[in-house]
Amino acid sequence: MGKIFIMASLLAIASCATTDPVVPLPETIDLIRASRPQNHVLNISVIVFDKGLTGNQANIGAKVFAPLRTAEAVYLPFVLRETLVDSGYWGAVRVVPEVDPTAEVLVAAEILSSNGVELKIQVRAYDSTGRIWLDQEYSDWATDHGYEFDEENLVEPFQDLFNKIANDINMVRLNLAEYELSHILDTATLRYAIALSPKAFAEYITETDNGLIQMSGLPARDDALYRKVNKIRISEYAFIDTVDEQFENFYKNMRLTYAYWRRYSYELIQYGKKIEQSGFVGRRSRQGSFAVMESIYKSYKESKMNEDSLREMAASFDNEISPTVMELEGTVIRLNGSLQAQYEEWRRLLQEIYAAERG
Amino acid sequence: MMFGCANQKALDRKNPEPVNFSGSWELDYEMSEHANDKLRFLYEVTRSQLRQQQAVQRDMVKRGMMPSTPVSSAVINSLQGVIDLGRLTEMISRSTVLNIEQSLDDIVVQREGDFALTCDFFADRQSVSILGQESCGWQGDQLVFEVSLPEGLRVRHRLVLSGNGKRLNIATTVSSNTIKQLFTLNRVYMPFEPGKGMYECEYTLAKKKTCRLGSSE
Repeated sequence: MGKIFIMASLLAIASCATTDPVVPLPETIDLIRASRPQNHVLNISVIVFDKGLTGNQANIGAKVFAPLRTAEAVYLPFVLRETLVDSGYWGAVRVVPEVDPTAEVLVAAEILSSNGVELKIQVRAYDSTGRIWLDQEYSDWATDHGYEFDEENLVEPFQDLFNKIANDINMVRLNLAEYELSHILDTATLRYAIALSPKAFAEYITETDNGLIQMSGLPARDDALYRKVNKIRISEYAFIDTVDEQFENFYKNMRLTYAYWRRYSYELIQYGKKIEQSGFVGRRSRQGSFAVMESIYKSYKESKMNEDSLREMAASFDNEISPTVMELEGTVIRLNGSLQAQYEEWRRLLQEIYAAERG
Repeated sequence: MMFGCANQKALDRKNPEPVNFSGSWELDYEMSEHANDKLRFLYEVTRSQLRQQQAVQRDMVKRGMMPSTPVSSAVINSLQGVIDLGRLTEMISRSTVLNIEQSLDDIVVQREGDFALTCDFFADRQSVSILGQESCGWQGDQLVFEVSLPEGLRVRHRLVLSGNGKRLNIATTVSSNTIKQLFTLNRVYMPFEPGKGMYECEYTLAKKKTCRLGSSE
């Protein structure tokens, strides 16, 4: 309630401006959905986003957003995941804690800027053969309308951006021939097999000078080792699907606070722009009066308190990662630590089992 | 503007031997300044200065050195400005309990009912936030947080630890481009041990913020 009041008072001040700056409306992009089931269903994995805060702090103010970026790096890939699922072009769409070189299609992204008004991310998608599907920057800015939400029915203000990314990825997929899709599926399985047993499977693929993977053959369908690889791969997916629930829980928990934070940021940035562009001074309230100063400070305070909440959420996501309990070859395994650590441990166990069974 | 000039010394992010503010702190009411008292004092001082100016002015009018003019609105605004700054400063420095975590890399000053003041000792000295410019750093043994907000509103918190480490003073100064004076309020905190009878709060994703009465351990 308090939040709404403060925003209303800010808007009241902002409404005193004589003319609103003309801001072009962002393009509305609808998600293109599959009209029929796809042949050669590919799985796609979205890696937790790069926070984009490394380097020589060229991005001034980056540290201010560090806690937010940590939360966004987990939140935003889940929005993309939901969009890809919604498109209907894909098999399993998963958020994964780290790069999985054996995935059929992998999406990696870096957050370049995110401040509530503008979201800019660099997205790179590639498949198991090393073919780059896209590597480009996407940006979108929210309009006031994008922030009209009710708590029960939250709408993602940057959904256009995620629709665009999903459409672009889907378009590459649609332009691939059947044999190319099949090639991606087989290469992914082979790469996974090589990760488990390089000696047994390395002969089937070669890497070209430009980094593309070429397949020179496939093991026989009834090859015992190859069948074992497929079985272990299914175990790995089972783990990823389990940890995926934790990403989903985080996404659900963060949604409302994040929506408020972005709305405050939006209001504050727009307010600052109006002052900058029109040199506007509130007419209803005297400049420098308590009412004006209080309104500005309260908005700042609310914004910072939302930042605190997001920082707490990001920290608790890391601290509260539940141990994952999995069944493996008749034994119950309990994995602890960060999702990345759990993933690494799970893969190590799978490799051990594979090695032991191979003898 | 005094805030921007007289007190403006460079803030250093790095301090080879930083003072450690860590711990739980509660307000020492006896040693802290009270906004109303200070406001009354400053109001009287400002009014006294204005009266002196008016007396000088009247004298000059009597001697025919300048024409008679009514008390200008600037004079009235000046008095109102002090009151406004005082009210805002009181609002900003209301927290009665602090919890400070400090490492060699950063500091987080959690203030009850308010947002946390944070400083990364290895980041850029000044950063641009969504609202304006935020900066923090060391001035000798004092740690300073500053923010410049729209319409020239500036807030500065200066943390000073007493020699024996038993008291922490936070001097909060608020100024505005439109008001000549600035207002500083000193709030003094003393250490306390969180324990039995105190609420211990924890944030979890599942339960959000939950608080419980702490044990004596």
